[in-house]
Amino acid sequence: MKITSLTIASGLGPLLMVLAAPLVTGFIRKLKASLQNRPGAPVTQPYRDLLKFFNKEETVSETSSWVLRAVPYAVFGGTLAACMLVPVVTQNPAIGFAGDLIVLAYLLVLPRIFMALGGLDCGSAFGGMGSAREMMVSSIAEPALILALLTPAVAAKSTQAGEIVRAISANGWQSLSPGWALAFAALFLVALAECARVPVDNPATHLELTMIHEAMILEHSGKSLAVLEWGSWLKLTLFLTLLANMFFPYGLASEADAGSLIVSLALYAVKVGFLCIVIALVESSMAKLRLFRVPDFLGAAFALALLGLLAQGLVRIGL
Amino acid sequence: MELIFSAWAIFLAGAAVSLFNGKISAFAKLCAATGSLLSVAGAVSTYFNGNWGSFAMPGPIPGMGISVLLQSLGAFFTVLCGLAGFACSVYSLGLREEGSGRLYFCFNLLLLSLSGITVSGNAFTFLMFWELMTISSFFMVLHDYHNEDTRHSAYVYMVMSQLSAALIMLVFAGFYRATGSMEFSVWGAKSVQYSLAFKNVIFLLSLLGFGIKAGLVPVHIWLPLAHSAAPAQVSGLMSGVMIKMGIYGFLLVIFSFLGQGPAWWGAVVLAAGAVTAVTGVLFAVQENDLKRLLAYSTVENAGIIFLGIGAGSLLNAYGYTLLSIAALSAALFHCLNHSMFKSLLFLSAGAVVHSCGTRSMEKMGGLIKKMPFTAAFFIVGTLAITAVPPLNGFFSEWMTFHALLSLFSIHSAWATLGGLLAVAALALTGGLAAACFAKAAGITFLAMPRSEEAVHAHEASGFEVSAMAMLALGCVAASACGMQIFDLIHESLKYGTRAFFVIAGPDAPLPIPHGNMSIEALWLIVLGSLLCAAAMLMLGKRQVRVVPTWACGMKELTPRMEYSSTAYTKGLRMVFSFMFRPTRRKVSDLSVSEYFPRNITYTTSFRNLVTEKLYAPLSSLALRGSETARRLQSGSVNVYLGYLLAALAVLISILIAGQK
Repeated sequence: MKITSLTIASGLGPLLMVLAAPLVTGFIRKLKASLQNRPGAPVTQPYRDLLKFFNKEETVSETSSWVLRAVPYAVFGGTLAACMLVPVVTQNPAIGFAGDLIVLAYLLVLPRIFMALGGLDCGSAFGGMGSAREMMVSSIAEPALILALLTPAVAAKSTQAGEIVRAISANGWQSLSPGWALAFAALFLVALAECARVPVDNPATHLELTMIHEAMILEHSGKSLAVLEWGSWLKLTLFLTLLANMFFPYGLASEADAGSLIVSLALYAVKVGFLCIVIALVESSMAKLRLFRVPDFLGAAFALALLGLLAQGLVRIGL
Repeated sequence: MELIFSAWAIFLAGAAVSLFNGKISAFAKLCAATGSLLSVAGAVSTYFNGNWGSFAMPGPIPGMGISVLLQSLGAFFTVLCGLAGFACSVYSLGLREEGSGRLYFCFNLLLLSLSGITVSGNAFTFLMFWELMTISSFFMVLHDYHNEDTRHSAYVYMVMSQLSAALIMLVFAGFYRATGSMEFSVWGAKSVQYSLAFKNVIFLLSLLGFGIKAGLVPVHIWLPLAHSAAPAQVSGLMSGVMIKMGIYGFLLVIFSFLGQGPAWWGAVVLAAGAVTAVTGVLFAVQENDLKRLLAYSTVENAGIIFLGIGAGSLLNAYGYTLLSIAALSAALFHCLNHSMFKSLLFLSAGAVVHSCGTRSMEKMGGLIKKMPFTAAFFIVGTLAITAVPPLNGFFSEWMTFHALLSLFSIHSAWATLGGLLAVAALALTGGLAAACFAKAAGITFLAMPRSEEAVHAHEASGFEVSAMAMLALGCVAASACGMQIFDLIHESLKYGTRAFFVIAGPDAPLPIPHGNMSIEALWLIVLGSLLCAAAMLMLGKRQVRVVPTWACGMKELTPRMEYSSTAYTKGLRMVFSFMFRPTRRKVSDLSVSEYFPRNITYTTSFRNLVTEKLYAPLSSLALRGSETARRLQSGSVNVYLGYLLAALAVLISILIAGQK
């Protein structure tokens, strides 16, 4: 493979996501604070938290095994690998030839399984509860994610992110079909569920009866907690990037000149920022659902994704 | 060919020795291992020589001769049987069990019959080995015959297997009637002559007949019973390989003998696959018996394989031959992968069950500290079966996804709808399988032991661990060489191209836009990313303090506070309550105060609708029929003689009527 400035620019995408992930979270927190008339912490607070956690001593439960220690690294590594397959500022993902959107969805299984195992490893009922709930939520969210991602794939006749981006960009606004809209809505719901946001989970709670994600990371501390939190923020950034770039790929750089890269980067920031605002609005205006209402929410995501794919498939054969 | 025959001779020697002297079971186990390796060598060398041998021996009456014929599809399954057979035999070397003479007599015969089925060249040979497979595995299921449940399991297994064999005989009899020959080669050659009605009947009969063996829902009921009752190395072989014989037989009849069929065949197979996959995984998720959970997951994987076959069949019917071959290759690749990770999981589960003396996960826990190797290999198997990239389970599921997506290239609303539902079923199966195996690995191996036996568990012996290691390595290797294996399967289906998801016209030359999508690169990014993450271990403070888990202010954490296997899947039971119909009962003893119950009894249960709605009416019908027929049995010899006379009279009158 020839190394061009374009491949380098694409390759820096995941790095950008890793570095920006705490910022995205900080931005949502700041927005929520202002919506609730609080000054809130500065947007850079997550970076400071990471720094603090990294320099703290780690405590590990005596009942746990190597699995618990491995969790943060599996979560971060698996999510990072998934980030390699999505375009960020250029039309190509970092390492697109290694896999497609199906691979991306399945790469997220590694973090999930390890999170669930880690939740069980300490023997505390909280961890088990979080783990059981997480697997319930994700066992429906994952198929919805796959179906939602396949809708643009069927439209673009390829499952590779780069090809999809090029096809949608080339077709201009004609790509906006009913199937596209349904799939976007489904993916947004999945993003809320997968990234532990209201109304499925509450990232700001430590009330044991309602939490899912927080229950699983309860036993982590110090550096483990830092890596784990960073991985979770990265996952949120990944989902926002998917929403932004797989459905609105307009303006992504196809050449590696400074001008188009800057435009593309600015557009990316605007798109992700807009999605952050939507999430902050949703989180401030809705209550968390009761746990057994969550399957209805996920069922809606699944049904939307199914309808989206059906609509796209039928459009394709010209019905 | 000679290698395969020598493998058979070794299997027979092993069987004979253990029949006459059960004490020297090590010899029989060694025979099983050597024979397995030899048959793999035989199939592989034949494949690369291109020297497909055949052997025929005429029998006493026409059609009863032995005919052995190695072809590429069969060779693939021979390899699959040999690899899993070798690992299971090595595992057995580490075991000391009661009645091993009986067990290894049957074990060798099972390996012989599996290898025999894959090289059978005519109906008689096939059926002979098929029945040998059923009977030898039946006796091994019955190994622990003192147990009431085991006897019941073996009984159900026998009934279903005989039903399967009867249907398969009917299929073969149909071919004999149509062609006047028992040779497989003749049946394939005359496929253009068959009438559509004949083909349809044969298709349905073989779907049911071979489907029973493969574990299709709703005729899967024997599978979770039999596979959990048998000893570990036998369950590994049955789940890993034996059910694949059903798939082999089905492929043989549908693609080799019948050739192209109408599109609805593909749709039926696709639907059967989707139902099997989702039902199988839903039952697996709820299971608290570790081995039965694995058995239900075998049902699920059979469903995934049938999804691939269904896609292949549908694409074939619409004339997309190359895409169809790709879909079938995905299905075959999943057969290979499943044989590895399912044998691995069964073998490690066997070690756990042996160590804890129970199959119930509610009595396990904390085993990762007592059995570190078994736990590690079980986790590898978990990652493979939940399709975590880049392990082998992912690779074939990925291929299956592409196969189903290629249904979108057929210009038909029905095919689009079928593809869509199948994709949704496969995606849902994947999500639920992750939940299922997170529970299996987490509850069994992590946290604190839930019983006295689990506290005193011990690591498996060297042979057992090395068998698991081999299979785990196989899972990694099958993925690392995934592209090459996929190409080999593809070629062995007699076509040369590699086809991925692409929407193209019928048999348009494939542009292979994803041909450069490589599994090697996938390995690199996953390992690279994990290394990046692990590099953070070097950063920051490295001090670690070991402390007890916080017990909510109680004195100490006890295993009773842990999440249990039943509790873990409560959520999914509620979500899929339309299928499980869960019921729960809570009885509190409030004799002292309304607010301080002295004693709470909580029971929960769920229903198995397949058994209740389908099998219960059938078996009650059969019982009622037998009840009626019993009236014929008066016990008096004179009446029986009268029956004989009447039967004779009826037969003679039929004969006379026929001669007119």
